Amino acid sequence: MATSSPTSDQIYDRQIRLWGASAQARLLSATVHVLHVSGSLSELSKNLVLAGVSVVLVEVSPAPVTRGDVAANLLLRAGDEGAPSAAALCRDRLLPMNLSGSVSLASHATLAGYIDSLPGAAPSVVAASGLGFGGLAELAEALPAGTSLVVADSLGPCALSLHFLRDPAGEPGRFKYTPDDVNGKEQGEEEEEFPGVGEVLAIEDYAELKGRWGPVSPIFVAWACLHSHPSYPSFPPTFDFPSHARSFLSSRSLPPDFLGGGAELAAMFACHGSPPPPAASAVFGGVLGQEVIKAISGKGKPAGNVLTYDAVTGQCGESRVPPKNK
Amino acid sequence: MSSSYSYYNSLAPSISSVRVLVVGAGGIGCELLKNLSKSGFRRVEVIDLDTIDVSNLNRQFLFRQRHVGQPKCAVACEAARAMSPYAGTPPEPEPPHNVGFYVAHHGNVKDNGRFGRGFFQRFDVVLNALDNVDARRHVNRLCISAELPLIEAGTTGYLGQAQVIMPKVTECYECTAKPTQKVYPICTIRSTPSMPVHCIVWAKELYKLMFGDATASMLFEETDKEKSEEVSTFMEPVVAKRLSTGGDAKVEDIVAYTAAALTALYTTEVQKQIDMDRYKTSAKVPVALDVAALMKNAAVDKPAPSSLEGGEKKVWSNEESTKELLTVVHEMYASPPSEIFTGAIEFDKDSDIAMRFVTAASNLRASIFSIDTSSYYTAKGIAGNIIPAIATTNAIVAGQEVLELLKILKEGKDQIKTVC
Repeated sequence: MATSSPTSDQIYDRQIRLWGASAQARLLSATVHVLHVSGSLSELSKNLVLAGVSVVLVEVSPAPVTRGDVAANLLLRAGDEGAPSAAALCRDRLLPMNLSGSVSLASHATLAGYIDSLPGAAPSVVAASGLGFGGLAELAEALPAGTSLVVADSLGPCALSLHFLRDPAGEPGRFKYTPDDVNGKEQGEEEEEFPGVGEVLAIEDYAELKGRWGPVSPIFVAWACLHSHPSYPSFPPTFDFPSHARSFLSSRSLPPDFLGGGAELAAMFACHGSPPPPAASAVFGGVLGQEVIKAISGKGKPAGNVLTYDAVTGQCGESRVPPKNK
Repeated sequence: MSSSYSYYNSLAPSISSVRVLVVGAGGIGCELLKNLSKSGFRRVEVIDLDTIDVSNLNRQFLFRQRHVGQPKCAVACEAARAMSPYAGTPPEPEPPHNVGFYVAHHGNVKDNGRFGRGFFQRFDVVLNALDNVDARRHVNRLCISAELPLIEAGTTGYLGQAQVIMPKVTECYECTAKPTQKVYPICTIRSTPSMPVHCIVWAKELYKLMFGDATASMLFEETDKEKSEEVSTFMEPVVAKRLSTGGDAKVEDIVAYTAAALTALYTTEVQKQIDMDRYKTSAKVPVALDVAALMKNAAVDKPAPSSLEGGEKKVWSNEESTKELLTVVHEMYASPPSEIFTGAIEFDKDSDIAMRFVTAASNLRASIFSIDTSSYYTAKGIAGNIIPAIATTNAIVAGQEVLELLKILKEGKDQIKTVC
């Protein structure tokens, strides 16, 4: 019984045998928006496309491709420098990997322009990188009810993601899932509450929250320190990061040396905007890929709502920031 | 944490000069080559014996549909060269080791003639991306012999691990026992199956008995006339009466052969065992099939459309399974593959005809012993020992392999770890 071109079941056979046909069907009908495809989000895009998910690469005010862009992005190559749009090149290279669904590009002059387009698009998940607290809050406010948000950023060899999963049926703050089979037996549905984006961004006393969400991750604190500043991502040349960091730590009820001394803080800030090691992006992009697949398929327990990763030590951290009412 | 930030800055010279051997260009291998290439590794060679299959495309992202059938290592190396920062100015191999810029070696790493100790000694480090214990053991021993660091990795579904093996520093791959593949007792397969997998193993052996090297089949018996009463009743109709393989078998002969074989396998031999009280103490006594009745409903005068037309997830009835066996035998003798002349046919899970045979034959056997029958899809997974695989686990593990390689370059032995 010969077929001229492979069927969807043939292509996705090895993953269907893992998460089942109904989960695969949900993946094939889902669309994920990737806002600023770079670093671990370039890896995430590749992982989703391979699984059969449709991906829209969203670019805001595109700038010519730089050497740093090429180093940070699995889909860009030497010779791409100067091209007008990194996302367009990424789309062209993702397309052949996607044997069902689509890979497309959405270009906007401003973040507000993208946000205005969201209600009409209603993606399953938005994965975003490179946004400050202000942009994140605006984005979260505009998300359609059933759309989950995954925020992913890197700082040198360290990476962080925040997960705000929503039930596709739109019940606010709740996410239903089926845990993985145990000994071949299907498990019953469970539910988890996720905090709002605004709630996490507005946390002021990290030390007080420590008892409820686990150890406070220095990676999270470093990320918040940078992304909460109004100048993020374009800091002025005279920006005094060590001073800002100490002030930030004080405002969050953390000791002034929580992130290390002046030289360490300077090294940390120097990594801001630098391309992460490709292998680190690969690891974290793999983790993100699996979490987004869980968000779409509803199969498998989500791994926390704050994930951190240090590629040097190989340590992963998982925290669950509880919703405000918990 | 903040001490991480300057960690990688000093590694660039080491990265561009270190000589890396990658063994395997499949799921982990594609991710590994991408990571090595993007990280700036220049002197890399790859060994892999496999060719690209459609079922690889969900995760082995360096391959496209047009590459199906081509060697994995060649296609993967071409892609790795294209994404390298050195794509425009590929480096020349440097003597004395002459390790090239993503060079492919299509072959079996266990071929000592090509990939012996001398070959391995051209490299500074070996990265595994294999899918079987046997090859891993082989590479492990070569690396110990050549005193090479080895970074071993593997994945199964959602699980994966990366392990650094440093000669004289860490344990090696074989220091801890590895699980071996399940082997079922012959008597279970031949006489007392209780699970679908027993019937599927039996069907694979029948496939060999009917079309391959019969003497290599678990079901084969010497037909010594002095012990004729102990010989299974199916040996003569299945093996001794095999049809001509010249492509000139007549339809009526095919039907007669199949009818006689199936009758012996599913009626006569089963009833003989029951009459010998073999199942006297069994919870459930098997019930022989009425093959004559099943054959009556099959399209006996010509090959019929495959039952697979109903979809891979459908579980065939006994009538459908019987019809399928007849159709397969028709196809095998109407257009015999060249290997059938030499008895060299082996079961291949990717062979549609072989899987249809195994599904049908195992289901008929399962129904005799009141065992659940399987769809083509399920039978293929069991018969082919198919391991579920996804892109994300491979990406994580391959990323971790390269990060551990960077630690080796940094000479941070205290940073080496096994990640699970």
